[in-house]
Amino acid sequence: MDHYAAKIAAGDADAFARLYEKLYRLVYAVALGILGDCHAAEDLTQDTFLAVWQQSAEFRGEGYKKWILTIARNKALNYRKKEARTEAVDPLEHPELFGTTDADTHTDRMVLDTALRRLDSQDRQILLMKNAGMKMKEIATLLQIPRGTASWRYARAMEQLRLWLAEDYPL
Amino acid sequence: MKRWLLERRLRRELKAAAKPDFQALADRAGLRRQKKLPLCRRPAFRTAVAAFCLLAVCLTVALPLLLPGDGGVPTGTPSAGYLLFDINPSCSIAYDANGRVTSAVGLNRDGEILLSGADLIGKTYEEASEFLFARCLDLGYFSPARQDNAVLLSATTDDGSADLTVRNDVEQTLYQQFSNSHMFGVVITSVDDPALSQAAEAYGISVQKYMLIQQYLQLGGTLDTSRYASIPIRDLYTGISALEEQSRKQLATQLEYQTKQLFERIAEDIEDIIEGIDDHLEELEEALGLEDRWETVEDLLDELEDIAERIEDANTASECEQILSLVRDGLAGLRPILPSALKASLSEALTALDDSALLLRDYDTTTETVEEAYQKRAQSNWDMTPVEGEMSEEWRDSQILHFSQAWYQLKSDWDDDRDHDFDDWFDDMLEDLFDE
Repeated sequence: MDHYAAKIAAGDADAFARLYEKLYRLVYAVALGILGDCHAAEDLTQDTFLAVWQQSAEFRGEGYKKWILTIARNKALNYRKKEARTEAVDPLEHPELFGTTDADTHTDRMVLDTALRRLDSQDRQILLMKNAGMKMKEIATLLQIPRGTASWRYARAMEQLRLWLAEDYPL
Repeated sequence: MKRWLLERRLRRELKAAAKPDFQALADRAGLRRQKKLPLCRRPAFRTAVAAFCLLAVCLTVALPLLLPGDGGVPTGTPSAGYLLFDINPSCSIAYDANGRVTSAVGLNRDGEILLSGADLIGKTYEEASEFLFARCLDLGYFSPARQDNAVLLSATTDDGSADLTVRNDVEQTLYQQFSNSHMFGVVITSVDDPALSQAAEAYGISVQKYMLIQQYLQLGGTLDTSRYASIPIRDLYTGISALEEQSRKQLATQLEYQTKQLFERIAEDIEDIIEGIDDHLEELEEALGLEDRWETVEDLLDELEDIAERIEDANTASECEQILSLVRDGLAGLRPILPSALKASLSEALTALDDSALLLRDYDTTTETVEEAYQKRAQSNWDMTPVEGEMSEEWRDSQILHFSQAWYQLKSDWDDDRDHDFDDWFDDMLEDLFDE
């Protein structure tokens, strides 16, 4: 992915579009993990890519993907601090924030909604990043935690999610 | 809901929630997309092969000491005393007040083998002795051709004192057996090790009890010297068994953790390899100006990457190897339809997968030995439930079917593409190349 850096720095919009397509979901997962709010995560994802477009000339060396995700993470943390919103919003109380008011659609996103609602911030970040396609070692590096810690927190989060889903959506 | 199903669902939901809008971003940034121009570049390819330091040598030494076999644990019936047979194999036969066997335990690996499959509970200690003699004869520990057939025998009551009546009875039984088999043999009823005898005597206990205490201490148990004389033999056996089980569990847990780490690393390495091929394909498409030319191949690579992720959920090395094999076959099957520029990368990828498989094969014996021992233990007197993995045959078959369907679809698409008019395709490419 490092080969995109020079192209984007040179103003290659097509390369930027391809990078956007490749990394959108991952950046979105990073933002959503921290913010717990779909709309905010969407805005922040756009802001991140805008920053990538504007600052790629400053990028040096290797790890372009990590650089982009770090921008996303820092922006999300700053946004959260600014908005003083540290807890996830209950989608049942504010469904408009999750982009839908339709009960059926809400049920269609029951796993994601449950994760956003009930997991703590770091577990949520690990869960979403892993399922957006990040490797555990990348997640550990980004969050600056040991890899083993990231692995067991992920396993624990999945187990908790499974139990909560069984409670909230019994068959 | 199984974990892999939950993950799949979460991924789908995340994908649905993430709605990219490049146009909005482009408007905001004032972007204008240019016509593509073909480029000519060859990026570096990264191959990762996991290296792992195995505990195999340590386990090969430690496992025989930690894996008690058949013979199990003392039953609920209280024992009046313990017979110790030490031929090397070593066995301990517990008997009740009526002289009936309440348990039979191998004290070392050979002892476990000697007692393997034996049903001595309820028999008299004489019958048990005859059985052990016959087994030793069968297995070659005693032989008419040898002059040094010997067995070290002691009988100890529950409070640690010598049970001379039982010892003498069994001694007579064994001598009778030697005579019936026309063999020279000797039954030793004391230990001629002066140091051991002296040490045991200092505590007022038999040599056999002293040796049991030493075994208990070596396994990590603690026992005040003031209790050497008073601690019942039964408690020592129970303590030794518990410590051995604890040690085995720790070993199994450690091995399980290391195995998971290994599997995770292999899974990530394979994902990197597949991602590398995917990236190269994309760059090639870009270089030739053929966007989405190999989209179906990329989709199949995504499928293989999903399959490779399942390695992290594997419980044993053989499960991991099965998934690896599936991924390898999938990648190898792409060879005829990949562009030539990627065939070298594919070969390197397959070599890396073969290296991982070899690593797993070496690892396999260790993990499965512990797993098998654990299962065997769970089926005997211990109250342990084997852990069932999520990697069922049913899941595996469904993955194979899913992959096969995707593969056949790919081949069908390729066949259709071959019929495409290549002159038209080439003209389109030239037009893109020279069009300003």
